[in-house]
Amino acid sequence: MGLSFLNPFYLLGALAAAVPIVIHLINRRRAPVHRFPAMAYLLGAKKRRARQFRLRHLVLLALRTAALVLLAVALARPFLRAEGAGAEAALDPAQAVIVVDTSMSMGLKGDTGDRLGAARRAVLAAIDRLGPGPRLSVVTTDPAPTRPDGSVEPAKPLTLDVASVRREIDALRVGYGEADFKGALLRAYARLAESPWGRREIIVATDLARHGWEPVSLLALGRVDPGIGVRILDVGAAKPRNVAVVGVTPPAGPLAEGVTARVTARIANFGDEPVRGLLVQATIDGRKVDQRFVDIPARGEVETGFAVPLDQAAGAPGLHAGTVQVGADALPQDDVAWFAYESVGKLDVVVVDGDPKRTLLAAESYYLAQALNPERDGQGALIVPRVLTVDELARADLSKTRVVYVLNAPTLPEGARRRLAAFVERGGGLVVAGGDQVDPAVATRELYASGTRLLPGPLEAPRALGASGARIRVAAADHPALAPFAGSGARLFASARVLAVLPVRPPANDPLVRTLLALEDGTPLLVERRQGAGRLVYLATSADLGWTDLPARAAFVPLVQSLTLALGVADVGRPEPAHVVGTPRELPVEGLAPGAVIRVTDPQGTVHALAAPETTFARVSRPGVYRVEAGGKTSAFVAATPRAESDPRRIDEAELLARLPRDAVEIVPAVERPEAGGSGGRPVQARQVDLSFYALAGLLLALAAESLVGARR
Amino acid sequence: MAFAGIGRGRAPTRAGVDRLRAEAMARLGRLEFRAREVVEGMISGRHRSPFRGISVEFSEHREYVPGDELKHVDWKAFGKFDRFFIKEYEDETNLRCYLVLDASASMAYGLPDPGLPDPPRGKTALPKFEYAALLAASLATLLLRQQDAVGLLPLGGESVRPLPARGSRAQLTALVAALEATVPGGRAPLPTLVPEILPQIKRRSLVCVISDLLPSGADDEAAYLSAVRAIRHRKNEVVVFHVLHPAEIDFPFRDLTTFEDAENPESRLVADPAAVRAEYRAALEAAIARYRKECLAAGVDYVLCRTDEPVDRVLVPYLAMRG
Repeated sequence: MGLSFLNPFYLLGALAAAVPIVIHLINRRRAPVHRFPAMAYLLGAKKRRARQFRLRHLVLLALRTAALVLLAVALARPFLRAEGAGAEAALDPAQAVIVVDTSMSMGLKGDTGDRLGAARRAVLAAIDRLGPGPRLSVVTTDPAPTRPDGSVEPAKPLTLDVASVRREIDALRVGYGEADFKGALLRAYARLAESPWGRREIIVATDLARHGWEPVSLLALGRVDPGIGVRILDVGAAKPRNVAVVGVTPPAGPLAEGVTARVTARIANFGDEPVRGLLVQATIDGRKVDQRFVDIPARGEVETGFAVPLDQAAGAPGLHAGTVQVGADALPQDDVAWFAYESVGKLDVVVVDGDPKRTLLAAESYYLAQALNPERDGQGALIVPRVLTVDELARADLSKTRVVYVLNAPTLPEGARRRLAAFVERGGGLVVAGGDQVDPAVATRELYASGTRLLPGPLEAPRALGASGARIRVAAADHPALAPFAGSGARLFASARVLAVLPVRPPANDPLVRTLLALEDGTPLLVERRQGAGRLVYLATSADLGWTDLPARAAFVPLVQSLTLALGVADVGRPEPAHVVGTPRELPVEGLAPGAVIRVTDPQGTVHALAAPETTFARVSRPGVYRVEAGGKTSAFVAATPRAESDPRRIDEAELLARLPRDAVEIVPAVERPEAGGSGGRPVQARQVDLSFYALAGLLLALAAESLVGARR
Repeated sequence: MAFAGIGRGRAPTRAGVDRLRAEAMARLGRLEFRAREVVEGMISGRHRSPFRGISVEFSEHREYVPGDELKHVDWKAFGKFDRFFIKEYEDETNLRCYLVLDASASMAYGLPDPGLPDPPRGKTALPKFEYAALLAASLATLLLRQQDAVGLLPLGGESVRPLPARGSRAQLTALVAALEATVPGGRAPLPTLVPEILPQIKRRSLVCVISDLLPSGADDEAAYLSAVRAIRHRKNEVVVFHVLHPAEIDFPFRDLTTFEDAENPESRLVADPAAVRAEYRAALEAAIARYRKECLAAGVDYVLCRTDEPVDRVLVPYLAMRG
């Protein structure tokens, strides 16, 4: 049998035993003098009581001293070890930091529950084997908090309260992010470095998923203490099937009422067996809108599309959230992916005809109006054009108008010019088209040189391009207005000819000006200039068949539709890649005054507030749609689970050991119950007798005896 | 003893103690008045003194009549005349009383002292000498009122001046002045001084010994008793007033204390009062019992006086007992 202490430093408290002795001596020295006449009787009594008196005081002194010594011994947690116990465990008690992998892959379910549950049981079993009085701390593999200097915060201080550690482990839940083993291990090393004595150990419970360990190379960091053992409890031996929605492309294009948008999703099979007839469903705002059945090869991926009729699915213009999901499997966290889009209502477009004719067919606006609303249907049409004269423009209500076309207008009254300029500044789109009625000098003076700028540059003299005309080429294929003409779509302009132009000459080096379409000789045909919150577009030829046959060609309708939506709907519906859970999100807000509040509503409905200029949102902890409100505008971003977490492939033991201090690391299969065989690492099988109870009992006895003896007067 | 400004747990300042000592002495200064108060209270309703004088001056014989006390029968005359005659004396009512007052240092006990615990609530204890002086003055007042002679024999103390027994009116003033001038101090063992004072006491007198009877050095209880018996032996009537302070009787000290002999500062003892209290009290009570028993055996009256008991409350029962 050998006596040892769990907290030997508390034995220093035994020095306090000197306190009663010192107090006794001080009291004796400081006894006040009292002149007393009856000393003869007092001396007689003293002689008889001297021995008893001295004995009583010695007993009291001994009891008080013993109480203090026993208190120090009890705090030092003495225990006896049976012979044959490991010398290692006979030393100081273990100090261990428990690292629990809470990444999404730990949610993979097996026959006995998910991997986190197995990790929890394995860790608790490992704690049981640490021997008496372990000092513990728990960290997870969530992204490690960092200090201002970039170093990681150490794990929480070690505690003797094993019960609270067990509760903390029981309360752990699977997250949706990636595992940050590097950060977790550095935090554990940092905490244990502050306790440089005794057995120190890091116990890691993980499924050894490859992606989590790939960024880890503690040896490269050079900050690893080889005196600290690392025990990895492997809970990921089973290979369950997993299918995940690994990506969703949200609906693109004009997301306005009446449009049928297309959503595409990529479904991946991370298992070694093919998957057949997998049901994939799409929902908008919680309502199922479409479904597909897909077959996915082993370790393969397929893409499938869904038709989303916005007039049905989107009940009202605004922000909408949708999902693509597959049936639940072993890892339900990645079986659904979110997307978001903003739809608008019908677009009010005003067409100002500068050359109205007696017949509609001959009017300058005829082809444009047809192209804006090809089906002439007021109910289902996305764009509802209103054709006005120049005079009517001055009185027209433009409050809900998104785009104004001014076609071949010889002049515009000053009031109309000012209204149009204000309209553009507010965010409207203005398209000015040339024609035979337009005098370049007058137009330049009224629409460019004056205070109300409605053209991207001064106009030049009209120029005829010969009988065969000039071809049109796409100058800015990436512009949303020309999205239909990207790639092979540019061939739609092949049959169109321009016979005459009224060219514009934008100022050189104007960063706000962009040429969207041009003629073969480089003459700008369709020029855009950003102005205020809106945009000006100048068409250097006519909008009817007077100077070009473009209105009669196949390209005209998509061009007009796309240009109108690009000007009227702006960035609404622009596809954006999903954000990955666990990484901070830079919020798309600009121009906010310092202190302005940014509110982010997470998928669970919790509202988080930021104050500008802080625009980084760090609490992206769950997949879903996050709504952002700032400056009176509402936007959204989508967070998705990391694809790598869906992949259950594991890292080899050799590869892992190469990334860690090999001599200090051991990888063992997780053992959930002590009697299940195996040690789970370093067994502590010695029989130990905790003597703290006896020390406390002795303390109580000493205190009781002191009270008894002290009370005898 | 309750003194203004001194409470439990508050250490008095030296100046405060001096002031309170001065107050105690000032109370002694009003001794005559206080003694008169005591006596007035005692004799209200009482019409004759319990003290009887016996004179040796023979006056004449008269024939016995029934009712005369037999002790006054002249048996010699009966032998001669075969008839009973009663002896009658002159100056029969006068008594000589000597107040033997202990004024040693131990009698100063009870003056304000930080180490002296407060008495129980409602109790006030006088210093022993103040009490003894008041007792002596009260007895003198009582005796002088009935034309008896009173003398003072102080033992020890400073400015000690014996006062011969006289029955004049001025005697009380002189006696009170002598008491007031006496400051207790030094050693004044009764046993040692008895040979000196005995010649000053005429035979057949009343001798009131007022002392704490505390042994000191060679003067133990036996010596005190021997001295008392010696006084008694000269056909004196002796009354011992044993004056003790309540702190000496109850020993109410609590904290560890260095006790120092009032008459012999070299004799010191560090003691835990709680540890010795029972033994001490037992020893003192045994001593009191011995004094009481031996006095009774010697025909001496013994009266124990606690200084927290008013003087009249001590005297009245005693005088009542004497009848």
